[in-house]
Amino acid sequence: MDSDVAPALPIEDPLFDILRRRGYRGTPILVHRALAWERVRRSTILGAILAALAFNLLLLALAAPLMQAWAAVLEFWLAPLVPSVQVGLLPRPLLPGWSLALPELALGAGAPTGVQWLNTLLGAIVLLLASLLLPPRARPLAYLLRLAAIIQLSANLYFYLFPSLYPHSLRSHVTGLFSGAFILMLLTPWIHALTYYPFDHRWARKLALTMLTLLLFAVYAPVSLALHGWLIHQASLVVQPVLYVLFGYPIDIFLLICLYGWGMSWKR
Amino acid sequence: MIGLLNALLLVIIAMVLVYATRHYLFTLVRMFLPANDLYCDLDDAQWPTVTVQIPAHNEEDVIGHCLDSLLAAAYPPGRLLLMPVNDRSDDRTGEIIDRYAAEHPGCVVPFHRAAGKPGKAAALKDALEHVDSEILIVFDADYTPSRTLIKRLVAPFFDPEIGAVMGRVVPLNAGTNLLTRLLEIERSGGYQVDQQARMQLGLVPQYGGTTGGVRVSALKEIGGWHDDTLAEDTDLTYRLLLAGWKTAYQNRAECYEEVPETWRMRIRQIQRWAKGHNQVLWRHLFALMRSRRVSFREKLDGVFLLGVYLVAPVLAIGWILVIVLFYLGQTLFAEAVFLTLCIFVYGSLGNFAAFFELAAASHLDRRRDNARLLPLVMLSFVVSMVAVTRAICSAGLDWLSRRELVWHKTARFRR
Repeated sequence: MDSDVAPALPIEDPLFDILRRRGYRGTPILVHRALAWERVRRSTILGAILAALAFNLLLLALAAPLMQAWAAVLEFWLAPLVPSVQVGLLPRPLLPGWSLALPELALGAGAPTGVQWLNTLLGAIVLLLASLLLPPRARPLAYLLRLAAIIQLSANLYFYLFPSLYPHSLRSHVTGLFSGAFILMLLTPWIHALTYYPFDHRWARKLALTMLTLLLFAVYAPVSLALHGWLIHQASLVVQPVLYVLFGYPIDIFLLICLYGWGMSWKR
Repeated sequence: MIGLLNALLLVIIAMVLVYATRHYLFTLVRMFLPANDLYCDLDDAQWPTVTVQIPAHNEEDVIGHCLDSLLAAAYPPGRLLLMPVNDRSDDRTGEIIDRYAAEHPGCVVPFHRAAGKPGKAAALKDALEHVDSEILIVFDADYTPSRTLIKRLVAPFFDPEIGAVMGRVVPLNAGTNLLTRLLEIERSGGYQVDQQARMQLGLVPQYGGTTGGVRVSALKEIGGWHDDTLAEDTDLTYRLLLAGWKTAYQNRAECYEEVPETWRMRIRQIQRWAKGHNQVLWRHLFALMRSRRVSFREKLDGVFLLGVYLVAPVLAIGWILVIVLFYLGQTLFAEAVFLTLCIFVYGSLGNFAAFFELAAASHLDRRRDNARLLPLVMLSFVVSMVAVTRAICSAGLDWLSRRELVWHKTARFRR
């Protein structure tokens, strides 16, 4: 009789641990979410550091052709709109001991004329009024509109009081945001190494997310700055503060978070 | 002048960076270290006597659900007393409570409060005189506790050092609209990661005023509830800490609540929390720093926790400085700093939970789809920043004019 009974599984047997976690029809019994946690291996940490370094080295190696491509994209969009546009490359120190030739935009944009000043002032007032008319459920949008209107009104006030003292130009705006976009591209693999690579996604997905984010920046930066350039050319430097403060880095980071959130939603 | 503004901006960025680092470390701890549930195996014991109080001011729509859930609680017979606190209600709340008392004599003992100072803290203070059990548990009237919740909340009190216990709050109406979905993510980050990490690290988990309990002897030792604060829960956490008691967080003790469904209610809620929290900051900050009973790590965490509602106005000042420096032509410096500010501002979203924390919480909760809403948490952040800044300005004006802080009840949406 005893010979028909399988011998008891020793408790230290790894199979015991596997069976202990099997539920109905062999499906896994999940740990309650309150107690859930994940093991992170040393190889994951090492892989994260190496991947971030590799992305940085790749970016630095491709920096010069990337800047040429950005300059070409700027010219592609702006040349049909403003035939007098000139796009070149201007060396600028980015990291200690390392400079990079960044796209430079030569396009007429100065202090606002009376009409431009009045139009932008009216635009800001309309935004402010629109924010007051929005329904309560759009409260966050109302706050954002008010913020944009306040920045625009501050620019109008500045140009009313000290039009000749304005310290920025279209050229510095574009070159500055290009340098910021490139620095953000260098930071992106490290942000992912710290906040995405430790999770249990497959390495192919981890690397794909970083690659996608870098590609998005590579495409978005010149297109958005072509639009900035055209807007400033049309409406004068009076719109530059709002473009810089609200539609520069904040949008870049917003895109970074969009893709990060998407990557975090990927199933195992 | 410009140098001073630059220095101020750097200080602000350093402060934001410290908070972002704190959230990052909390998330790493919660995500990659085993979560300890110290009291989960406790079942057969001499369970202490418990009074559950449910403060209710005009809660006719929800009080019945809460009492039904509590009457079904698995707790040794005769050791659990339900005490709905009818706080000056002028709707049918009192009538409903009396009906339950009549149907469950000895089990439901109501406390009717017809007059007195308004506010939850004042109601709890008056009702405490009628509590003679060992443990007091508090639920808001819109909560629907599960059968095993009372035991889970009481279990840590077998540890004689524990003065208060806090459970996890999960939104019941998360799917209603964008705001409730964002609040679900925010709550998830706050409890699943932030509170649990503080518990794991032996820091200062916060008693949240509902879905939590307090040892009655400890409460009486520190002078009972204070009715002159809008955040009686935070106030209690710090008074217990200063008196040498610990607060435990029970991540497994989950309870559903209704979160605000309109931005107006949400703004009111944040403003109340911000005013109350900052009131506690001024009251207890120096005592905490001087205390010899509190360990260094608890002091550090306690100070950071007290300061969370100062981050929003500080960030608002940071944004103003960026704009001022921009007009002053500080391009190179401002660009680097602005980029840093942008990165870390996004790292301090909503209720100051870093986006990594929110993503990790969605991951742990197996609600990965929620992570797609992360960019939209920015909306919640903008509203929080405005609401908290306004609340702090208004609190300053209240203090100058010696005006008393007023309690605003959160509206219910369930019928």
